[in-house]
Amino acid sequence: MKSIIILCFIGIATATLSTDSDKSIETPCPPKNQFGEIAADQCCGNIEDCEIVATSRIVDDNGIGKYDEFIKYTNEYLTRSYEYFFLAAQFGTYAKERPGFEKLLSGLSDSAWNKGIEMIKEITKRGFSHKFILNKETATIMSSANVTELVAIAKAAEIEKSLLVRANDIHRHHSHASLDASHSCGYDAGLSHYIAEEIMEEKTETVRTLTGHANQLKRLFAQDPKLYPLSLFMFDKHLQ
Amino acid sequence: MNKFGILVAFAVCCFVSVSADTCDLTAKDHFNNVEFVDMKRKCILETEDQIKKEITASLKYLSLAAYFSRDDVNRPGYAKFFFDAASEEREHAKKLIEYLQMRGRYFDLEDSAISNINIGSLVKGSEKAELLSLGSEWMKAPEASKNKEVSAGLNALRTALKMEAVVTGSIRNLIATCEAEQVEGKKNEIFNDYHFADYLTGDFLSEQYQGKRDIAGKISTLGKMIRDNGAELADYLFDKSLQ
Ligand SMILES: [Fe+2]
Repeated sequence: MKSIIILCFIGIATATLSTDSDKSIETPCPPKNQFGEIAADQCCGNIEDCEIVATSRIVDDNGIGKYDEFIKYTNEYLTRSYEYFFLAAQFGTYAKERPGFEKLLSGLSDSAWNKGIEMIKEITKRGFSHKFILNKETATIMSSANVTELVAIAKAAEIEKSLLVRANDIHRHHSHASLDASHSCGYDAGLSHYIAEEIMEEKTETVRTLTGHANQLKRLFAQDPKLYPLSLFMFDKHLQ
Repeated sequence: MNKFGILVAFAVCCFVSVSADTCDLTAKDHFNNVEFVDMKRKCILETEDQIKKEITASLKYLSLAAYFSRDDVNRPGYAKFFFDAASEEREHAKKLIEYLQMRGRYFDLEDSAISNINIGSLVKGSEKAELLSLGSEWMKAPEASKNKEVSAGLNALRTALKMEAVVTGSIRNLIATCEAEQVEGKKNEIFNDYHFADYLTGDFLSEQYQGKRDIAGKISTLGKMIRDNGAELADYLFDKSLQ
């Protein structure tokens, strides 16, 4: 019984579809003024002319590239990620044999990679595209797999700190404006919040840890260079 | 920042002021000339080249993922698929590094390609992925074509298949090099790196062929959907299946 009713239904539905002209096909044709600023009548007659612009942007770009610094910053994470990747690689060789240092550096590599991906998603949430633009210094970053333990740590501390400083700068760029400031000034409270909470908070910890390590190694070396190989061995153990 | 500059300078000084043992980079002295590394030079260098290609592929996938994340493109399924693919390629690079480490390679040698990669320019060229020699039609964003028979998704999947085909070929060449390398200084001696050839065949090639089959299946499914339903609806629906 049930199936017959359903069959009937389908029959009626098909009949309606096939007999009706194109006019009854639902078009995105809202009652006038329902969309406010959008000229609704444009979307009726000719679909080709229907110019509904939907964008997540709250900052007018005007072709100035208001988010370019954040985008370059994202690309620096991707670049640094592979820089750390190779820096870590050498500590896993038999000649270096420092699994602790390798773990520390490849951890930095992983988190830079994951953060880079997260930031690509973050910029597209704001209605802008990710582009592969780099600032001058980032564009020339080379892999290097020929440094000592202390240099590697010092280098990592320097990189992480420069990223922290840059985050601070970009935060300032997106978080300073007056009530009447134009929407193209770049003010973006959401992005500022993201930078402070999801980037700077974590980065501050990382910088502190790395500078601590660098200073510790430096003092160990200064106190007795002859004991330094043993110091490094123990230090590496504690990093594992 | 300057403080770290000094630190670096200080650490470099330790080469000069302290005995070689303290800061040694080669560690050769400890081995009393026992040779245990038998991986051959050409094979190693080509492997390092392969690592660069894996990285290039990871960045190309990232550029596809970024495209599908845009609010005017809005394909979260494709974006996820390509973000995952990007991280997977990065893992391949890592696996090759780990293999070289296991076989006694170290990367501080002057002839190591690993110590001399311009990462900045690789990232800058993510979209073009020049190292993979894909050809110009694959080196741009995967926009839908005007004739409405090719969706952006289909374009991107074809790019991915093309890329995987290139990488597969590159791994096959690497195996060929490593299983028949003439030993330096010994005219008639050929070294067959059985273990690496086996590793590349079993691990890498298996994954390549499975990956290609997966993408090819997606392309034909999507292609059929486009033929019956039009590119926009097909892409919209297929994207849902990837989420
Ligand atoms: Fe791969």
